[in-house]
Amino acid sequence: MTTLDCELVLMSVMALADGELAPLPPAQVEAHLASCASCRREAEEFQLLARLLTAQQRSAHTENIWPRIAPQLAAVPRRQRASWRAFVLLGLALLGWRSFELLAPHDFGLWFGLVPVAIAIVAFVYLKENPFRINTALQVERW
Amino acid sequence: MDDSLVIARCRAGDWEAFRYLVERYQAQAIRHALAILGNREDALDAVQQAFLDAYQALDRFDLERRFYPWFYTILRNHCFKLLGRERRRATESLEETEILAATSGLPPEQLIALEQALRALPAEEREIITLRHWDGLSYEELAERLAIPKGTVMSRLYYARQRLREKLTPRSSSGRKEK
Repeated sequence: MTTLDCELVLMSVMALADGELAPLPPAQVEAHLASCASCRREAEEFQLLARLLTAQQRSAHTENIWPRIAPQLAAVPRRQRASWRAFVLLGLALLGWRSFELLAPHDFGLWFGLVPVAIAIVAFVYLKENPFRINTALQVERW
Repeated sequence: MDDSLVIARCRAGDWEAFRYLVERYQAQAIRHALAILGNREDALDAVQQAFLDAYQALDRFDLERRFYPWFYTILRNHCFKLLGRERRRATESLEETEILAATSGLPPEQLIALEQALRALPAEEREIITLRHWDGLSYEELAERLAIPKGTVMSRLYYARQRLREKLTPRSSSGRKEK
């Protein structure tokens, strides 16, 4: 058996002991352990380690941090969520612009075409909404 | 009281309602931060800052999700940022750590050896050992909590345990266990 096989067997022993799905089926693991003394020894050491880890109690940390953070929380201004009415007004402004563009007798040129962009920018700055926010899930930063 | 109700009240401006979440999760948060940082004062600082950041991010929190896994991401990021900077305080000596005697009757020297071995692990491996053995998270829960594939959970746990095992049972160059 190669070192890679032994590593896979031991990983399977670990997963099975954890009650999880293992890379190798139990029968194959058992067959390997029956023939590999080194893996048998390491599997026993893993079991002992698991018992040690489970048995070690962690102390109950009773420190109350609320008094530390309460004054800072009180000072945080709550951001008001944008009202739906603001978005309705935005939609109406854009609709108004588009209607005017279609009905107007002559072309107002490039700058008139940039009006909806300006309206959108002003609206998002006023509402302080991030249009590129995709979801509320935080990303775990890679360190 | 349900966490989502508390969060809704906080969003409505009742900052004192946040106390419920702090007092409910602070012990767990401190334990997790301590596992990563190995230093009580740094852990308390990280937890404090994480709760403050979580409060300010409540508007973005999805009420369908559970609070602590979301909060843990914030806490974890703070802890690893602290680790990335120069350490402000030395790791606590074993005399300062609060190690309770195991109810299984394991000898104290064995527990101290385990604690020393844990301290010597890289922070990411120490973290996954803590979450697996003391919080009882499954591989799937670990994968979700740490935002890594399940296969990575398995291999990270394996190598962490392998490192611990080697530290606790050092071998000579012949591969035989030393006494």
